Amino acid sequence: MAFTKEWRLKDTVLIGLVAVAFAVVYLAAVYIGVFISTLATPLGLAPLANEPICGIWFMAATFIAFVLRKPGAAVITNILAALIEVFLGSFYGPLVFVDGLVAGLGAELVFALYGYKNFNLAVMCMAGLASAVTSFTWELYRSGFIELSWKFLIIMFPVRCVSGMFFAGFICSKLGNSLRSAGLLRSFMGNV
Amino acid sequence: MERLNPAYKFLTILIVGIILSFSFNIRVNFGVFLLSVLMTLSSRNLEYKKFFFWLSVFALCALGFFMTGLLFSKNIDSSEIGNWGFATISVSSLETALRLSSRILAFGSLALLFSMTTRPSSFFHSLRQQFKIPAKFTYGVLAAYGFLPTIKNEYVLVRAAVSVRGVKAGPLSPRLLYPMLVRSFRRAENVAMAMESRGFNPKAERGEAFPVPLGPVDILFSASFVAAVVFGLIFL
Amino acid sequence: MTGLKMESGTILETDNLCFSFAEKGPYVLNSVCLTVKKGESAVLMGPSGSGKSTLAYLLSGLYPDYAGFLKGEVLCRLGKINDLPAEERSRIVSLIFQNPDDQFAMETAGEEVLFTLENIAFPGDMKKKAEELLDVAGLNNFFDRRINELSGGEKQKLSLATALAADPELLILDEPLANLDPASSGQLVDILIKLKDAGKSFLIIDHRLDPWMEMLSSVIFLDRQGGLYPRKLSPSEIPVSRDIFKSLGLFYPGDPLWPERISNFNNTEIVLKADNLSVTVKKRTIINNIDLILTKGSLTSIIGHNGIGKTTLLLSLCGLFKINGKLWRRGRPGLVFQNPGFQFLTQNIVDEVVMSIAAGGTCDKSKNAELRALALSFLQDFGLSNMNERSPWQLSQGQQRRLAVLTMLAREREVLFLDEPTYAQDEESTISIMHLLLERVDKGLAALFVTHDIALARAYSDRIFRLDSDGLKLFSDS
Repeated sequence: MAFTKEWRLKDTVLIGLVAVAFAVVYLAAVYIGVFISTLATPLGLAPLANEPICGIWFMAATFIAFVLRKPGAAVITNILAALIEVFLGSFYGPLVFVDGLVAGLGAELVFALYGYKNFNLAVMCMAGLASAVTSFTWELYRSGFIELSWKFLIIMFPVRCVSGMFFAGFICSKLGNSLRSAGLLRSFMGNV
Repeated sequence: MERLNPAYKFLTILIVGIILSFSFNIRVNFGVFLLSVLMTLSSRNLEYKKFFFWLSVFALCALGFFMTGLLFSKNIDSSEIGNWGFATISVSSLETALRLSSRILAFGSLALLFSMTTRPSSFFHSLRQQFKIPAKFTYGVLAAYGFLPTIKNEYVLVRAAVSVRGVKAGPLSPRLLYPMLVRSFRRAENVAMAMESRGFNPKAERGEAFPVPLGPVDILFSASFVAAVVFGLIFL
Repeated sequence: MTGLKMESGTILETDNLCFSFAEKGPYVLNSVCLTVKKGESAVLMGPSGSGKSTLAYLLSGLYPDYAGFLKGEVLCRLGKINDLPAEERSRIVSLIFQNPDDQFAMETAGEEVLFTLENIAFPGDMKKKAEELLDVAGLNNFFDRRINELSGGEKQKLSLATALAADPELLILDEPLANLDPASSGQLVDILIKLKDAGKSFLIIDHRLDPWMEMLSSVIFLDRQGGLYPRKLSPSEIPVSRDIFKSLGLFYPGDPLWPERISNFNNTEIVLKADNLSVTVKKRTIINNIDLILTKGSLTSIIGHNGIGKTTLLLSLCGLFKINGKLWRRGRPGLVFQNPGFQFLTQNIVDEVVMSIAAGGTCDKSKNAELRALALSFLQDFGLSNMNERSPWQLSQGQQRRLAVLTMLAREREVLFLDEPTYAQDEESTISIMHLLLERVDKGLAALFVTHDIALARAYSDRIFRLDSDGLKLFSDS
């Protein structure tokens, strides 16, 4: 039961379960998001409504990376989570595969920079931030944000960054640390 | 539609989506929207209620993007055609608005084309068979996906449990997530052990009880859909 | 140890097995030497915490891969069980888990059986074979049924069918009847007897011997230190071995399951009254026409089959669902969930209790020490005193449930609801919970629990109701 870099079956089941758990919570948030964006429509601010909760999409990736501490965990989790989202009624359908890949790569890059050894609050927040940056860049094209005025984007982008840092960074780090101190991660993390 | 190979259907829609992401052709967007809706409607056993519900959600969102494009477009020229509150609307901002919103409709309908006509389990089996995604991943995630109804139910229960304790927790509170995650760890371990005890070994030669067929129709569908979009971009 | 020769007819053999969960931690199992022979159907008994499940996981080759540290080894005719790839291991031994919910990987019953057949690369017509196996397990026409809609008993039968798909020599069952009602238990035992007659071998973990008498070939005991009792007991020795059972604190066959309760149900002071209550969720009426009166110092139970809405009823009585009809209660009722883990809010069991005492009232700092002292004395009453600063999540299932009951009763309360208080627990924990509850009931608490276990309801409650789609009816024994 030594710590292993290899993917075990329980790791992949865990990824799926964590993705489903976050997705269920997210679905609850989606209704709020749709409601706010409907209200914001006459002002032309609808796309802004989803930005504050955008960070929830990155949670599965940073959280699993924290738990498993394996190279690839963030990317693979985000892709698999995206595949599950396809069936839960996601807007972009199969395209969320690319969303997942891009956002996951952002977080993965940060964890790789620290050699998958450091998962403190700062690193987690940076990972959330990186996901926000990569996903925003991709969405400039996918959602056509690139056609919008810079004034709009200059509000949108920081909101997403803060959301990414808060949900994927702060919340996941808090959850991870308290699970860890309760000894619940032992069989996944090894002796780290 | 429901009989097409799920993995190839996925790939096709993904490619069409990526092409649309980097193009800004209103006519093609609407064309893809119409085509996808028609194809979805032509499939058997469609859950109409669900389909139209999601369609209207996407329409609402498209409207949201329309207004944003109208009011916050970066292209503002002198061809003023009206006013909306504080903003001036020009021909080019109207065009931006249409581009953004038609694209949302196109993506939304593509998403429905896939999710409404594909069974999740056959999609995962198909990924394993056609794209050689390791069984460890496809079966692992498939097992987890099976717990979706259970986990949904647990979310309701956890909210109730917390409120019985006399504590208020918002729908996104970490207080709700924590017990659900604890449950996930235990469950992941239990399910993995159960699968292994039933002889699941991702590295071994296995039988195939869930063959997902791949035929010429699939290739035809992929090729013609992508070709249609490309032609549309060139000629429309 | 690879040079060890195995006698023919032996399926599994262990040699001085020692096992611990932490690297330098205490041994949970101590020098266990066990042989399981072909054709045997043995029942493994032992007090709570003696390592019965752990031994089952070791014999199935799942530990120490999944947890813990092992000295010694488990051997089968092909070598060490741990070294075998899963698909070969599943032909030697397959484990049926105690918790019926967390052991499936597919959507439908048929797919689940096909999954095992795939794993062992079954050469014939898989679909036909899967249908046969479902029939053997008593699940005719279940092929397309969704697993998450099955009852606990059906899930255990399905688990059996999937295990049989690999045609293992030995089946290990970990408290297979723990979460089943008497009727489902009887059906499962009958199926196992048929399988035994057809040549299968069994190792069954249970707290009770009675259900297994007909198929029993030997009894194995584990003591509190995780050591094996020197020898197996044959059925003919049971009548003269009462002292062994008693010394280990185990049920002796034939002894009454639950102690007799003398009901002193005579208080007429009403604490809860529901009049023509109904609940509609998503346009579907789940609860209909409920009339219920609870009085001070009474213990009431509600039975009803899976999915009839027992949990929904409790949540409604607590005011957590919108209801139609009249509902009057004195004070805020408490509710202990089927999964007690859902209701913990802190990282420390003392804080957990302090929070319950303080909830509602203002919690000023000067009183903190006082509250902690009170919390500690409550924990002592509930047998949780020596784990002070632990996280609630580190407690065992039984301890978690006791803590959940405590969080509800730490403040004065008139009414307490319990949802399946015996779920995923062994009998010792069940008895300890019911006794804690009775103590409070005798002091005036009105308690209501829902359960699928008629025997439990009969043993403890003053009144039993049956929940049906058309309402709540008094359930009589006849």
